[in-house]
Amino acid sequence: MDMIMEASPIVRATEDVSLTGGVEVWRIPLGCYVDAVRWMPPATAWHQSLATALWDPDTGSFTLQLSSLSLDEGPSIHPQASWQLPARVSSLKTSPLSSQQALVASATFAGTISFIVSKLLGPDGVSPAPLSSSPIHDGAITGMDLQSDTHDCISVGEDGKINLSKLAESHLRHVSLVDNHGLTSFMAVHWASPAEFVTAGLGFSLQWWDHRRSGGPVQMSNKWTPGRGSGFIHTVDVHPSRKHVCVVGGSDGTVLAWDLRWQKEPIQLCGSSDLRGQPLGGTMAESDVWDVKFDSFSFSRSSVLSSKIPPIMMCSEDGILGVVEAGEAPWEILAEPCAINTFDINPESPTDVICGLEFESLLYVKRPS
Amino acid sequence: MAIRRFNAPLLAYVSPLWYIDDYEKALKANEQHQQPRNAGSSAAAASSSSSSSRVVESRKQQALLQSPRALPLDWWETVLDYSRNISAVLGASKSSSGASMTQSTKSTRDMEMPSILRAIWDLLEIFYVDKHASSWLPEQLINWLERYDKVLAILGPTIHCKLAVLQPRLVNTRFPEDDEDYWSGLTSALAVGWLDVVVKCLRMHGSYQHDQIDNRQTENGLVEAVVVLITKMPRLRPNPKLDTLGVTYTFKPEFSKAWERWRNQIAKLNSSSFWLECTHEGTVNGLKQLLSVLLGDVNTLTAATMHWMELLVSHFLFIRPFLMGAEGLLSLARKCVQLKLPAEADQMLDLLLAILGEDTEVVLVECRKLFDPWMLTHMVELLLAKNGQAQLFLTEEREVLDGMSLEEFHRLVYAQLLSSHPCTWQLAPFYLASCPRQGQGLLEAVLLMQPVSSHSKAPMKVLDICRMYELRSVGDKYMRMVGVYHWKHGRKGLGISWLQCGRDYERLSCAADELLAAVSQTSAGDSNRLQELDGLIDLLGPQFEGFGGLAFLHRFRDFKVSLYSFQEAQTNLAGIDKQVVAGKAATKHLIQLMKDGITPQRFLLPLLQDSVELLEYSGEVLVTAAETNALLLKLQNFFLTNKHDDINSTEIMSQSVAKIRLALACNLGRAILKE
Repeated sequence: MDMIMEASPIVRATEDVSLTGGVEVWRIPLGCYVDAVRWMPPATAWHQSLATALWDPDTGSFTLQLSSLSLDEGPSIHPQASWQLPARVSSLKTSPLSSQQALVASATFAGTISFIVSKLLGPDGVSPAPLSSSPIHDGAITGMDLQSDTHDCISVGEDGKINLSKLAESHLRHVSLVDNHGLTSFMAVHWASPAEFVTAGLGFSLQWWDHRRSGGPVQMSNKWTPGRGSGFIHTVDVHPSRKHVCVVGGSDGTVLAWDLRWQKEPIQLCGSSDLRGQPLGGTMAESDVWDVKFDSFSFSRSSVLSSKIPPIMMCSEDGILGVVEAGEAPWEILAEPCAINTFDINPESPTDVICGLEFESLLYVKRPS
Repeated sequence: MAIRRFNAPLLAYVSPLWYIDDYEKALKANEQHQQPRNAGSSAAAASSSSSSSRVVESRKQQALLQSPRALPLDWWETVLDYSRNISAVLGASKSSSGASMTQSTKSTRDMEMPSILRAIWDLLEIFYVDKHASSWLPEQLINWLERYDKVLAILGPTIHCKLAVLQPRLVNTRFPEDDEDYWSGLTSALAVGWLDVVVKCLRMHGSYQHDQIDNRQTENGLVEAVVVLITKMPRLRPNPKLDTLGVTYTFKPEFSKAWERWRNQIAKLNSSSFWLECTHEGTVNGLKQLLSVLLGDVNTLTAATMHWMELLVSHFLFIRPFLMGAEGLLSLARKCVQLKLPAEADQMLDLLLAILGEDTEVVLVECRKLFDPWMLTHMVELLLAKNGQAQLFLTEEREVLDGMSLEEFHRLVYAQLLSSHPCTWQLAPFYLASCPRQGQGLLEAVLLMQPVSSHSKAPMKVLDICRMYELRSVGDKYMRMVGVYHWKHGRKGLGISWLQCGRDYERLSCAADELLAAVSQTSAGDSNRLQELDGLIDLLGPQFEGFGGLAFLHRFRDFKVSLYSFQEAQTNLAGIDKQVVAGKAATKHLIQLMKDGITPQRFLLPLLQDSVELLEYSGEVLVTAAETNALLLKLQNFFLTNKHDDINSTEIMSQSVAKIRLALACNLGRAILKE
């Protein structure tokens, strides 16, 4: 556990300086497969730490690791605490619980959810045991999200269930909101407000739910993708302050944004073919988009128009980390030789991005402020 | 047993691999031998080496496009870049001199093993790739030994070990000159040209200390004189090195003059009278030893060095300083081996000699003995860089290998290892794709063997590789597998989605039939269930209209839903208008179902039975005369085609047919009257 992983700066010829100008990149080898990585809420202004979900196929162990990231002499990672999990992690979320504590929730491919309440500053001797649920989904949980105010955890799975889990005193309570017995699966979920959330289903469909209302979804997007019967959404994000704006990423490099107020049809920001299956040229990524997030850093630089979809950062199977925006040329920050499976933008300093690579390493990206 | 990870370039060579010269055995050993994981990330390293290979491969393709017959003359420069990249991957060794006294000599095996690989890699680069190096071979070898002397230490004692033992002692000694080991260590370090170490240690000599009772001025003067001579040693090398001592000459005649002058100075010092005034016997003997090294005394050099490579290097430095190319290198090396026969069998001996003699076949055989397939796969590029004979040897198609060349064979073996581990299998396709004979078949097998259930991202990764290598049919096959997997596990929608992606219309029809059964079993009142199925049928999407069962399912669902709302309107005693609107909608859907080729025969009768309700509706005529005629025709056709089937059910059938006929006839009458 006392191993220190040091990063090595990546020296790379930049063909187009204006594209990657000033971006610094370091690779941090971990020696385990990285299933997910998230920034932890900061304890102090100069203290950065990460939560990583690791998988070691040799020993068959699944670990959730909290580590601090130190930046003197190049970034390096110092593990602080770790916990064993029952299966590989499909989704990992962190949220501040109080000024001294953070909540880390992880969902696994075995259908379980674990909560860890962690102290933010320094190792606290005995790590508290994680609160793990019994399998609340049959099979893999495909998406999970933590509500930042209520700390409610919403999860969706291949089995067609939507579950709401709450952290009570020392145990987990869960309510099944929807169960369609596997007839249709859900692929991703994201909170929009303390009561509303968005799910992504099969065939590039989105559903908007309110857990206070029983019955079906409040709003559905089924009809707006007539040409796309096949393909999957892998991730969904809702704008933190404009909750009617959401964005999804999925097969064929597709990134779609949807403003509930205006549009009958989504805006396609990226993808190798349009919604009716016609090929599009000059897309940034051609294979699956694994993660999308509204990029508050690029947002602060571009002109603010309330009707415009804000810039979105995405990562893909073909190794692209980039920012897309409607009507603007995409900004390709990185083109790695291997897949970028996950990334997270540091909420405190959005210039910093941490990525999880296919081949057992993290990538620390610093954009010029 | 968990599958053993293949520690690509970082494989620890302590394994029985040392003695195995047969690939299959090596592979087995690889699988069986559970080894602790090395620090650092081997999948990451394997990935880096594969991306370096990718670069060199694509450049080669480009070069061959421009001149198909042969690679360009400056091709070796591309390979040199590649080689340096790989070398960097092999170890982040901080190019510290082998004798660097400040570096602690942690000799954990984990740290050393990759360095052997790197040492051999770099040596191959010197002899096979770097054309500039070939005119400065001795100098390159001196540098090589400086970097890798500590690696040779695991094969037997070397000067590095000697100094490593001496180092901690020196720190605590005030007068090191009394220690014989101090002088012998210095002599050895000087023999292999580690001038900075020697100078640094000489400055620790007791005579430099001020607070001494004895008068050691002469002694100190002699030490300092030797230090100055060592610092001024002329060296013939391509470019001056900033951090090392010695005076660099690039032009041979100039060097020759300087060398002569320097040697004269040594001889002068050697015969000076100051030696007699020096009272410290250890110092006198020690310094004299150093001087005889500088003067190139064979016996002193042989005694001072331990490994034969060290002896070879000392010959370059002090006996044959004018040697530049490879001439006589091998025979000199053999001579040194004779003088420094290793106590035990030295596994590296044959390999090192083969590299020195550029004997490609032996190099390959020895590397196969010592290293894993990673090395063989990647070093082929080095061997091919400028050597035409090696090219023939490596790329010639061999019958023994089923028409494969040696190059392809090594790649195939390495790709097999890669594909056996969940963290590295994605690297295998690159190597397989460059195997012209058997790569394609294996690549397809590897892709189709990837588990469909383990991880929801895994299927996408397989498909992305299919997309990259344009293996559309393999991708389709794989998607069908995933589809069937999900369908069988009760995830109907996911199954259908995947089958759609894989364009498996046959199975989609089966799926539709199953759904159909579910829909028709669902009573109209079970609206919840119908709603669930609804979502699923929606998923099937309008683009599947063309596919038999699916198109039918869509319309059947519409019909059922509208019939249900018609029934509901009736039971709720809704207004006549509403009942009629619902009834007409249901009729419309029914007529659509009756179009040719949509409804499977076996569903025809139940549908017609359902229609009776519409036909017998008392409020208004819902089915027009033309529509009724169409239904009659359908019934007649059905009756004709099914006359000979299923004798048992004939009676029941004829009853219901009669009922339908009656209803149709009544309706026809009403409709004609109304019109």
